[in-house]
Amino acid sequence: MKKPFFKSDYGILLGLIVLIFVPPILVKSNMMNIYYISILIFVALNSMMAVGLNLLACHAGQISLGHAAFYGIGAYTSAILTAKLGCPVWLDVIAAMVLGGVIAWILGIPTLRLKGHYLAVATLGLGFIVYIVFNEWTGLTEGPSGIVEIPRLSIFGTVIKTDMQVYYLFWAFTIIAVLISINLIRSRVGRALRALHSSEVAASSMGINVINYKIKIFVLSAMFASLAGSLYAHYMTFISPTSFSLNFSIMLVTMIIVGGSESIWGAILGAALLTILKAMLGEFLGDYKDYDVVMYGLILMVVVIFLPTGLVGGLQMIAGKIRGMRESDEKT
Amino acid sequence: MQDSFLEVKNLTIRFGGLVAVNDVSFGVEKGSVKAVIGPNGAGKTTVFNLLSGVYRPTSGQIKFKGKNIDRLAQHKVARLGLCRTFQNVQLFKNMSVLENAMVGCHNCFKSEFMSSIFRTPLMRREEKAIRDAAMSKLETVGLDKIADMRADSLPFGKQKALEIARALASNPDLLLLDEPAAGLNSAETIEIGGIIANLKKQGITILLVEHDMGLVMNISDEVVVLDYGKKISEGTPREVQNDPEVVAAYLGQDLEQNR
Repeated sequence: MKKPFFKSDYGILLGLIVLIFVPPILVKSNMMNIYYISILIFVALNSMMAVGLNLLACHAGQISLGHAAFYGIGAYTSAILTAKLGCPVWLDVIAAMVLGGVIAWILGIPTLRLKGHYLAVATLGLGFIVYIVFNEWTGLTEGPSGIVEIPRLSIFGTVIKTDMQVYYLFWAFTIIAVLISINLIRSRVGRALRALHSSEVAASSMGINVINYKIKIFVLSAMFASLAGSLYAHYMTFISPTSFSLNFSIMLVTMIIVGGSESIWGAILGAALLTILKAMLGEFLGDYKDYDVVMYGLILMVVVIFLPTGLVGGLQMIAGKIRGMRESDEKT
Repeated sequence: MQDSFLEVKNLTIRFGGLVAVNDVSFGVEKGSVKAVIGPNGAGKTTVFNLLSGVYRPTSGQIKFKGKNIDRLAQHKVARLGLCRTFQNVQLFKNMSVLENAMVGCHNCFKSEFMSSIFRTPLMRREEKAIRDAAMSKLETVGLDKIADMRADSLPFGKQKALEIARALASNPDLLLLDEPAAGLNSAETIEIGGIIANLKKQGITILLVEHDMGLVMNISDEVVVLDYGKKISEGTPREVQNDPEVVAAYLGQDLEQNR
C-alpha cells in the first residue's frame, strides 16, 4: 500500500532538484536568455515564503495577511546591520530570521489564543505598521528613498555576484526550507497541526497544546519569510519600502490559493506561476504595469470559483478522471 | 474522605441566567463502567465538557486520581489520562483512519519541532512506535483493514468506532464516551456494546453518556440520572430503573400530585 518513491514528497523534491539544473543548461546552450534566471531567483524566494505560508494556512488553518511585513523585516534587518552598521554578512541573515521569529511570537501569543481568524486581522495590522515604519522612520530606514550599498553574500571569501551563483544559492535555501516543511508535515507535529485545523476541541482532548503549536508554526512561517527578505536584500543590494506593501502580502496569499491547498507543491507551483506572470505582465503592459493587480484579482476569482482546490487539486482531479476512464475502457 | 478514582463535588456551571449543571456530585470507581443518563437538555454533555476541561465550572470541584482538574486546560487534563469522544463526531476529517489514531497517540510520545525537522533517529523510532500503537488500537475496534481510508469516507458506525480507537490510543485511565451509540442502527449498536464490554474487561474505567437504555443497562455498573442540570438519582441500573423520580423525569409525570 506504500506509495512508490517517485510519487512521495521526497521523490517530488528530488524531481524539483533535477529541474533546478535545467535552466542553467538552457542558458549555456543559448536556448534561454540569462534574464530569465533573475526571474527564477524570485521564484525561489517567493516559493520559500509561499511554502511557509502554506504550512501556516493549509496545515494549521491560520492565515497571515501581512507576510510581506516579515519579508520586509528580514530585508531591513539585514540592510541596516550590514550597510549601516558594518555587521559581517551571514550574521545579519541569522539576526533577521531571529527578529522575524520574535516579532511573530510576540504577535502570536495574544492573537492565537483566540479561536477564529484573528491572526489574519492582526497580521494585516502588522503589515501596515511595518510599512509605515519603513517609510517614516527615516533615521533608521532612510524612508522612501531606501537603503543602498547592501553588501553581497559571500561563501568562503567568494562573493556571490553573478545571477547564476545567486540562483543556485537561493534555490539551495528554498530546497532546505521545503525539506524542513516535508519533514514537519510527516511527523507527530504535522499530524497535530492538521488535527487542530480540523477540530481544535478534539485535538486538545488528545493532549495537543493547540495554542503552543499554532504559535510555533506561525513563528517558523515568519522565519522563512524573514530569511527570504534577508536574501533579497543581499541580492538587490538596494531596498525600498514599496517591495513590502500590502499588495505583496495579498500576492503571497494568492500564490498558495492558486497553487492549491493541502500540498506544499501547490505553494511552489503558485509561486512560480504568479512570479513569472508578474514579470511577463511587467513587459507586456509597459506603462500600465500597475494594472497587473487586476489580473491577480481575476485569477484569484476564477480559481476560487472553478478550482477551489487550486491547480494541484485540479490536476489530481483530471488525473483521477483519466485513470477512471482507462479502467472502464479496460473493463469493456 | 473516600479516594474515588474520579470525584465530582457540587459541580455547577451557569451560562448567563441558565444553570446548565446544578450542584452535581458523583464518583467513579476504578475499573467500573458508569453511565450518565437523562432526558435531552439535562446537562449530560455539559458535565463531560466540564470534566474534560472544555468549560470551567462556576463552582464545585473535580478530582481525578487525587488531583484537582477543574481549572486545568483541556490538553493538560488529557495528559493526566482522561480522554473522551464526542457526541457530534469530531474526527480529523482530512486525515486517514490510521492518522486519526496516530494523533490519538500524541500524548505518549515526545518528538517536537526540532527533532521532526531534522528527522533524528529517535524521532524515526518514535514514528514507527506511533504507527504500531495506532494500528493495534484500530485492531481492537476492527478498523485495521481500512486504515488507509479517509476518516470522513467511513460509514457513521465506523466513524464512532474510530473515535473510540483514537481516544484509546492515548492509553487513558478514564475514558469518557459521549453517546457512543447515537445515530447507529441496532446491529452497529451491538457492535459498539461489544467494544465497550471488551474495554471494561481490559480494566479501563469508563464513564458514558447514552440514550440507548438497553446498552446502558447491559454494560454499566452504576448509573447517574440528571434532569434539568440536577442529579435526581444514582445507583445500580436496577435501582435507577425503579426510582419513581427517574420514571417521572422520562415520562413527564407530575411529581407534586403523586406525592
